[in-house]
This record gives sequence, C-alpha cells and structure tokens, in this order.
Amino acid sequence: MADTVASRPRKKDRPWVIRTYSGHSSAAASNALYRENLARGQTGLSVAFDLPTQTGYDADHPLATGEVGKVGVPIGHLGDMEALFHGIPLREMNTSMTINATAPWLLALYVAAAERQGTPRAGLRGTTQNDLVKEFLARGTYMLPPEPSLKLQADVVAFTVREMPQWNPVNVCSYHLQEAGATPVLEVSFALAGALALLDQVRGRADVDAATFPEVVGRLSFFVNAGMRFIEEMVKLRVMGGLWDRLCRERYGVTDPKLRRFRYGVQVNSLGLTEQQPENNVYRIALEMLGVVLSKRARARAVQLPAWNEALGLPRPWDQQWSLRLQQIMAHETDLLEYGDLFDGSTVIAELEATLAADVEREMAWIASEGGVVKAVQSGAMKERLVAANTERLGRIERGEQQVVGVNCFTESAPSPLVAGADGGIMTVDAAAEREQIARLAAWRAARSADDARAALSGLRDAARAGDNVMEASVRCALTGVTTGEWGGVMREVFGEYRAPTGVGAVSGAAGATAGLGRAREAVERVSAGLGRRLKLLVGKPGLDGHSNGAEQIAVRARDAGMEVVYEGIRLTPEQIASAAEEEGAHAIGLSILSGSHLALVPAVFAALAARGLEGVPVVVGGIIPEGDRGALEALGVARVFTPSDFDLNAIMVEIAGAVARANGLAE
Amino acid sequence: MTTEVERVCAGERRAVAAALNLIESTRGSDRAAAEALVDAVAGRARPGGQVVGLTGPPGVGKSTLGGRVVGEWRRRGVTVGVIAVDPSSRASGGAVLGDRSRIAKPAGDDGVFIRSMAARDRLGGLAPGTVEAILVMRAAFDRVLVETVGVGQSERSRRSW
Ligand code: B12
Ligand SMILES: Nc1nc2c(ncn2[C@@H]2O[C@H](COP(=O)(O)OP(=O)(O)O)[C@@H](O)[C@H]2O)c(=O)[nH]1
Ligand SMILES: [Mg+2]
Repeated sequence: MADTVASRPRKKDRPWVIRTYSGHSSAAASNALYRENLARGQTGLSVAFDLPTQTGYDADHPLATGEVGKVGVPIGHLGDMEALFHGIPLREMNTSMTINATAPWLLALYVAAAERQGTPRAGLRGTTQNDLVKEFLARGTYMLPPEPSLKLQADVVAFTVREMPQWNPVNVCSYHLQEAGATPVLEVSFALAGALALLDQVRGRADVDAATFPEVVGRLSFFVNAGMRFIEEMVKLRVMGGLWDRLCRERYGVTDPKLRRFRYGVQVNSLGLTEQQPENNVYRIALEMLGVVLSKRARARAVQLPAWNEALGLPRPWDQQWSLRLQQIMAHETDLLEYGDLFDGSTVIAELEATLAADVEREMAWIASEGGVVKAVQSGAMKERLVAANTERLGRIERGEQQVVGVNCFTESAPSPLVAGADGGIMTVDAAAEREQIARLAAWRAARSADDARAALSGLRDAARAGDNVMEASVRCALTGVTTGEWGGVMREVFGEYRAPTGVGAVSGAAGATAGLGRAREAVERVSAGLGRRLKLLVGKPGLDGHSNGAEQIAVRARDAGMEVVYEGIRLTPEQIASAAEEEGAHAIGLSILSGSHLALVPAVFAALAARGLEGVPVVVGGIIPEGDRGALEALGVARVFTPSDFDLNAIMVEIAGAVARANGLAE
Repeated sequence: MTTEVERVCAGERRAVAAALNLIESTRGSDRAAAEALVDAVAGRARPGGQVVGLTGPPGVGKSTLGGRVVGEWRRRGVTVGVIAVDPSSRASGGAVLGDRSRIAKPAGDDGVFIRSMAARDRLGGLAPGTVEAILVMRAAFDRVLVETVGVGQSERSRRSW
C-alpha cells in the first residue's frame, strides 16, 4: 500500500500555552489547585481573583459580604500573594492575572513576593489584563472614572517597559465585549479603539520616550473570544491581525514587523453555553476552539476553555481537567500543527475578510465621531450598542430564528447523569472561607507596623495627587503590609468613585417582538389598572457582581412590556436597594445575582426591606441559582427564581405581573 | 389625613413615598384624597426652602451637576428631595428610569430622597403629577431639585418606540 500522509513523520509546530482559569476560597487552597494543574501538564498559570480583590475592597468591607473567595482567590496583602505562590518558583512561571482596576496593586504585590523569593522583577514573565475600557463596557470591575483609570493603566505600561522586560502589561480584551453581546464587528472595533486610546495616552507621557515607544506597542497583547460560528471567528482573527499591523505602522510608525505582531490569547465563548442539556457544551467548546487554532496565520498563543457546566456554576477540578484534555487532544493527537496556513488563497475567506474589515473601519469611524473612546464610554453611546446587540441576539433565540439545541429546538432529553451527584455537578465555595479570610486579615493588620504602612500609604497618596507613576509607591505599600482595601481607598479618595452608564435607556427590542409581547403588555396593563399606577419594577444588582446582561435585558423587556423600570446599574448594597424601593414606590423588586453570593445577599435585601416596612413588596431573583438553593430562597419569601433556562422574557414579565397582582390582592 | 400631612411635613420617608404614590394614582377613589393632601401641604413649604429646576436636552450634564449640588447641600446639612423625570415609550407606556444612579448618595444617608417619574404620554417637560410632587417634597425637605428634559427636546438616539 502506498505511503499515506499520516505515516510520514512531520515536524510539528509548538502548541499554544495551555491554561486553566482558576482560583477560589483562599490563597492556600488556590496554591494547592495550581500545583495540581501544573502536575497535570498545564504550562502556565491563569489567576482568577475574587470580586473584592478586583474592585479594591478588603474582605471585611460591607460590599464584600458574600463575595469573598467565591469566584476567585482573595488577595488582601503580601502574605496572601506569598501563600498563593508558595513552592511555585516565580522565576519559571508564566503567570496571567485577570486583574484590571487594581492591576497596579496586584502587580506590585507580585513583584514584592518575587523579590522576597529571590527573583528580581526583571526576571518575571506574565501578563496583567489591565484593560479598563472593557470594564466600563462589559466587565464591570472598574473603580475610578475613565480618565484616571486610563492613567493608572498607562502607569503599569510605563513601569513594566522600564523594569520588567518580559512582562505583558496589557491584554486588550475583546473577549468580554462578545460576552456582553457584541457582534464580530463590534467586538473588533471596540477593542481596537480601546487599544489606540491607551497607546495615545502612553505616547503623551514624559516617562516613555519616543525611542522606546515602538517597544511599548510590541508589548500589547490581546485576549479574544471565539463563538460557535467558527469560520466567521477565524476570519475575525485574521482581520484583527491585519488591521493591527496596519494601525501600528500607519498611526504609530512602528517599522519592525515583530513589534506589530498580533499576539492573542483566547477564552472561547461562554455566553452561548447552555443550562439545558449541559453535556452538549463539550461539543460547543471543541467547535469554538477550532476558530482560534485552525488557521496557522491567526493561531492563538494561549487558550483557556470553559467547562461543560459553565451555565450551572463553578467548575470542579475534574470539570477543568476535562476541558484541559480537550486542548491536549487537539494539540497532540491531531495533525493540526503539521501544516502551513490552510486558508491563504481561499477566495471565500478573502471575501469574508474584506467585508469584515470594511465594517470594522466604519465602526471605528463612528467611535471617533462620538468623540473617541473616553467620551463614548462616558456618554453611554458604546454601551448602548452592546445592549442593543444583545437584545437582538436574545430576540433571535426567542423567536427561533437562531437555533440553539436543547433551548429552542431538540429539547427532549433523558435526565443527565452528570448533574445527578450530591454536589449537583458544580463546585460550591464553603461560606467559612469568608470568615477565615477576614480573620487572617485582622491578624495581618495587627502584626504589621502601623506606622510603616501609614507612611507608605501617604507616599502613595502624594504620588497619585502629583500625577506620578504609582507603581514604585505601590511596591513600597506592598512591602509594608498595606491591604488591598487601603490601596483602593487611597485611589478612590484621590480620583473619585464612578458609576458607568447602563446603556439600557435608549434600547428597545419591541420592533422584532414576538406574539408573547402582546400577552405581557396585556398582563401589565391589567395589573397597572388595578393598582391605579403603572407597574413599577426596581431591578437591583446587589453586591460586587458585574454580570449585567441579564438585568439589562430584563429592564429593556419590562419597559417594552409597559412597566416603569428603575435600574441603577451594578454594585449596590442591599441597603441602597431597599431605600430606592422605598423612594420609588416600587411594586416589585427583581434581583439579579450571578456571582454565587445569593445566599448571603438575598437575605440581606429582605432584612433591609423589612427595616423599612417594605416586607409586602414581592421580590423575584434571577441569575445563576443552583437547583439546590431554590428552596432556601423560596423559604425566605422570594416569589419566583429564574435561571438561564428561562429564556422566554415575555413569560417572565407575565410572572412578575402575576406576583404583583397576588401581593396586592388583584386578579391576575 | 392630618397625621399623614404632619408625617410628610416631618420628612418621614414612608409618608413621603405614600403621598407620591397617591398623587400618581389614577384610581378614582384616590383622586379626592390626593387633592386634599396637595392642598394641605401646599402652604407648608419649609421656611427658607428652595425648589431648583434643571432642564435642557439629554446629555448636557443635568444629572451630573445635580448630583454635585445635592452633595454640597448634604455637606451643609440640609435635606434634599429630587424628582427626576424621564420620557416614556409611546408604544408600550413603559419607561426606564435611570437618572437616580447619577446622584451619588452617601451610603446610609436618608437625608436625600430621589423619586423618578415617567413623563407618560407627554413628550419632554413635566410628568403628570410633577407639580403636586414638588409641593409634597417642598413640605418634606429643605431643598427640592427637579430634573427634566425640556419641552420639545427629544432624547439622544431615541428610537421610535
Ligand atoms: C457573560 C458572562 C460573563 C461576562 C458578563 C458580561 C456582562 N456585562 O454581563 C463577563 C465576561 C464580563 C464575565 C465575567 C466574569 N464572570 Co461570568 N459569566 C458569563 C456567562 C457566560 C453568561 C451570563 C449571561 O450574561 N447570560 C445571559 C443573560 C441574559 O442570562 P442571565 O443573566 O442568566 O439572565 C437570565 C436568567 O438568569 C434570568 N435573570 C437574570 N437576572 C434576572 C433579574 C430579574 C429581575 C429577573 C426577573 C430575571 C433574571 O432571566 C434572564 C433571561 O433568561 C455565565 C455562565 C452562563 N452561561 O450562564 C458566566 C458566570 C456567571 N461567570 C462567572 C464568573 C466566575 C465570572 C467572573 C467573576 C470571573 C472572575 N473571577 O473574574 C468575572 C467577573 C465579572 C464581574 N465583574 O462580576 C461564573 C459565576 C460562578 C458562580 N455563580 O458560582 C459563571 C456562572 C461561569 C462559571 N461557570 O464559572 N462573565
Ligand atoms: N467634560 C464634562 N463632562 C460632563 C460634564 N457634566 C456631565 N458630563 C458628562 O456628560 C454625560 C451626560 O451627563 P448627564 O449628567 O447624565 O446629562 P443629562 O442627560 O443632562 O442628565 C456624562 O457622561 C457626564 O459624565 C462636565 O461638566 N464636563
Ligand atoms: Mg439626566
């Protein structure tokens, strides 16, 4: 038999960096997890921080209640950072940190921990995400207004360019934009516009000279998304690479092609992963991955994959291992890495590329016409586009125009054995983690020299006020035992707190409405007539959770169904929600919680409502609520719990109207 | 009724909220009570009280300025009532009321009371009941701030819903 292609030995390309995004409970528990992952063949670390750490609060701050150690590791001070990497030589690690508003601080802690391990900062390799624009638009862990946020972002760039030659100071993210509903065009144009805003800012700085600027450009890397339409996604990455190269050349005059290279990591799309028939998500993840590995010219440098139980809750170690194995099988068992680019020369691909590139340029011109990224963030113009795109996406699914297996077609299913276990198929963080972290924090504060910490903080305040780079002052803070909340407190004091526009005011999905909307409107009108006042719904997001998609879409649909909706955006305390409900005379309160903190926050909202005599107002809760927690919420008095399976928004509106009718003794 | 009026005039939040609900009510049986309440509070403005209106097209900075003004008033220890009027959808009658988020209210500060009102079927200008709501708030708080898009103005990028 003739020699087959497969039997000939071929030289393989090196695979991408294989990572798993992880961290939870405490520094010590996460350290054990990282060591396990490294032993299983993972080749880099990707640290998930908890929300208090990401937003600059200590574990004992009121807003941190219920959030400590939940969705990531809590890092409150140098002791936590050292515990996180205990026994892991930082000299050899490539560490990716998903950290943004507090990136200067977490990098300072990392540098301090490494220096105490005996590794100079210049020897450190890794990435800080440090992309603030997408925090305002999609991710929600910002602290300061856009202008100072960009300034601190640039501080990290200037510092690492000088002191840490192997560090990627910024991972420009398009990933989160897609998770907030962006189409490929919006994803690419918004991300590139954000990158340009940062580079423009850095170029104007005194501590970055013109000669090193091309190197700054070369340090920028990207973090992108890849969804189910994997051909379109692959085209997107090829286009992004081409556009980036051109922008670097034309706008910044970067002549060295190496410094214009589009380097990117990926997490594949999670927004489309379903709660229904969750085992199917494994196929989705595999297909999504094709978009970022198939084309050699646009292949990812690093890949992280979600797990089959994405829409149920946090993955357990085994779930993460299952996803890790997918990457390893793709890299090592297939012949993917043996060939040159498979798509160069394809006319179909070339045509798709040309169309997308033209659309992206039009979109970037629109952003410029809105006054540039900072203005378009402040005015809410960019956010509105994302909310509208998400409204459209969900509308297509509701109307059945976009088929999703297990959701709006092929919904019959045998019970899944994957969720049959006692843990419901997810990892749950022990509530004791928060108490223990608070106790460790108290002990840490007691053990340090209060005078040294105070002096370091005042040095930080002076640097921030003077407009100096805050990095060296932050490293000194780290070494004197300053805490994350103290660092964040100084930044808030100097630069002010910020609430980003919600983008919901001008969006409507009524144009493409389904028949169900008419029913919802009737129900709302009937109940409003009975109440004597138009049904008023307060949509609240308690805690630090930044997942806003659900709340936004509920707000838009409730308005389209005829309700008056009060929605103030993310990150409110239970007390703020209760006082707003009182002032507004809300007929119903809808809480949206996806960060796993519902068992702490929903009771806190009930207590705050009771304190104001509002116990009669019906409360509904939506988000990632594990099946096992439904009972506890209902026992508390929650009128109805909604999860991602409840994709029929009109039906939700009818149910809210019904809950209000019952609470007010009206016919439904 | 009189105790209700006294509670409103004492700035009791629950009474103020109930009074505003009553004013907004279209139920026939509530109208007489609403009128009586308004008549009773109309003459009870706080001594030295002020009502300040902010009007102008969307995006000019009314809420931002209003938020700063409220902050300054609070620093001086005076209580504040805010009425924020947003336009309604003509198709559904619904509205998204989001302006209150622009007014930074210190945590746990019950000295600021913010009420959003939908402009219902009127385009721009005041919502039905705004004037009555001002009278209630003027009796309950030292300062009243009213934010509305001006008559004839339309919201930025407003679609035809
Ligand atoms: C999109 C997404 C994101 C986006 C969010 C964009 C945005 N602006 O919303 C991005 C990429 C930014 C993101 C970030 C993070 N995410 Co995320 N994310 C998701 C994802 C994939 C989908 C959520 C979503 O938007 N769905 C679409 C909307 C429309 O659905 P929904 O919110 O569920 O709403 C529906 C119902 O729940 C209900 N509903 C919801 N709210 C309300 C409110 C009312 C009043 C009513 C009536 C109904 C209702 O009705 C809606 C209609 O169907 C989920 C997993 C999943 N597939 O569900 C993870 C998930 C929620 N994320 C998770 C995590 C951990 C994070 C991070 C904290 C990671 C980290 N350590 O940094 C960050 C931080 C974000 C932050 N600031 O808090 C975890 C939470 C784990 C947990 N609960 O235990 C999840 C479950 C993934 C996982 N398995 O690990 N995420
Ligand atoms: N540069 C600048 N921006 C402002 C000022 N006031 C408000 N803005 C911004 O303009 C946008 C709209 O402000 P907002 O107060 O919501 O306007 P409103 O619609 O009139 O209430 C926001 O992004 C504000 O941050 C100002 O004095 N200077
Ligand atoms: Mg306003």
